Amino acid sequence: MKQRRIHRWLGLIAVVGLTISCITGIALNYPDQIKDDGSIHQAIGNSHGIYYLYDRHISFDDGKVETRLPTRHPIRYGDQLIAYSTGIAILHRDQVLMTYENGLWTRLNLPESMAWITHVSAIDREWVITTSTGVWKSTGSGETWTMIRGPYPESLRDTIKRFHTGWQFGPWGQTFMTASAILTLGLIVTGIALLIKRKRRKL
Amino acid sequence: MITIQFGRPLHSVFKVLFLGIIGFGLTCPGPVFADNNMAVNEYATATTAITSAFPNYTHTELRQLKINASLRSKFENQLASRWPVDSVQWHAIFQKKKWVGNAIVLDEIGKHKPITFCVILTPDDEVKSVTVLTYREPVGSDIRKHRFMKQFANRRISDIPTIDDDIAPITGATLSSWAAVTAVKKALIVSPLIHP
Repeated sequence: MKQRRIHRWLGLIAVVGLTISCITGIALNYPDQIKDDGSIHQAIGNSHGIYYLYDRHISFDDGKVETRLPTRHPIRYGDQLIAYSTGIAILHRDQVLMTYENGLWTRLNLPESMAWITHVSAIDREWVITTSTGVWKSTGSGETWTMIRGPYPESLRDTIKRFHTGWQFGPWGQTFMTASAILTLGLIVTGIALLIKRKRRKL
Repeated sequence: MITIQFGRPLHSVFKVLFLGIIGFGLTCPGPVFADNNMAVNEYATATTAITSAFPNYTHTELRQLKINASLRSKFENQLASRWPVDSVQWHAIFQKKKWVGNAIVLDEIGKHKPITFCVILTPDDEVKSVTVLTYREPVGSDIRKHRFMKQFANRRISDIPTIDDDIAPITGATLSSWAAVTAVKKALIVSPLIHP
């Protein structure tokens, strides 16, 4: 009986955190489904003006008027802007790196062996890319690439993140983790219902 | 020591499933580190794609559109993207002497490798069908399926498709879905200039 009481109270305390974790976890696994609130995620400047990265688009402010830029691929939560002297670049969440100069986008060809990109910077038109297993530098404007640091093993933090989000198993893993979170919410609801039922029976 | 009792046969099934999932997870290399050295998959040819769209066609004529600097500039402005090509090849499709449509074969980069698409257009510059001819990436070939490709049917230059807004991408094949949209955009832009 004592064990049952401890289990009940521990469960009631954990239920708050578990519910929040499940709901926010499901939402963060599908960030594009969260309504665009019009907030600016990133603002970067160069000699031309200031570029603003919103939830679903990029705009450019030359100091007089703010105009929306046409983009080749959809802008999504998690994309990053990079500024350099003659233009800007965007690193899409899906690891596509596009440059934007004179009103046109160009996709940079990245080596297949390049691991998950965590940071991008540009020195004029030469690129320095940090990945989860090494640092790469381009010669020319992205035609050829050389690994200047690494390869080193993926950090434990990145491995844990892949398991946590389910991406270790690909898109099906992500779906499985979402299903697990929904099942946990179901267990919480049925657990509370059973507790109430037992209390009523006692009365 | 904690022991888990699986008394009934049904529980044994769950136990095997549970251990199987955990085992798969620990041994699975993960999508980021998937082996990219995969054989090229040829799913169709331009001829089979044309036959599927126009079963009664009699013959095709292979033609070429030369793209000079001013034409390239016009295309690139419409695409808002660079398109460094000198020419586009296309098949004019005929049923006896009547011109019934065009088939444009285009390569578009997926994640790392080009995907070959065949976009078939009607004389009204409408998309009739889109077919994946060759797929070279290890994942994402699901874009060739009808449930994705049917979204391009009847699109026109005035109704250029955009991913997410009116074309739902395939889960796990985001970049291949983007490539398909870009290929269709290019075909629609070229289409008015390739009437025989």
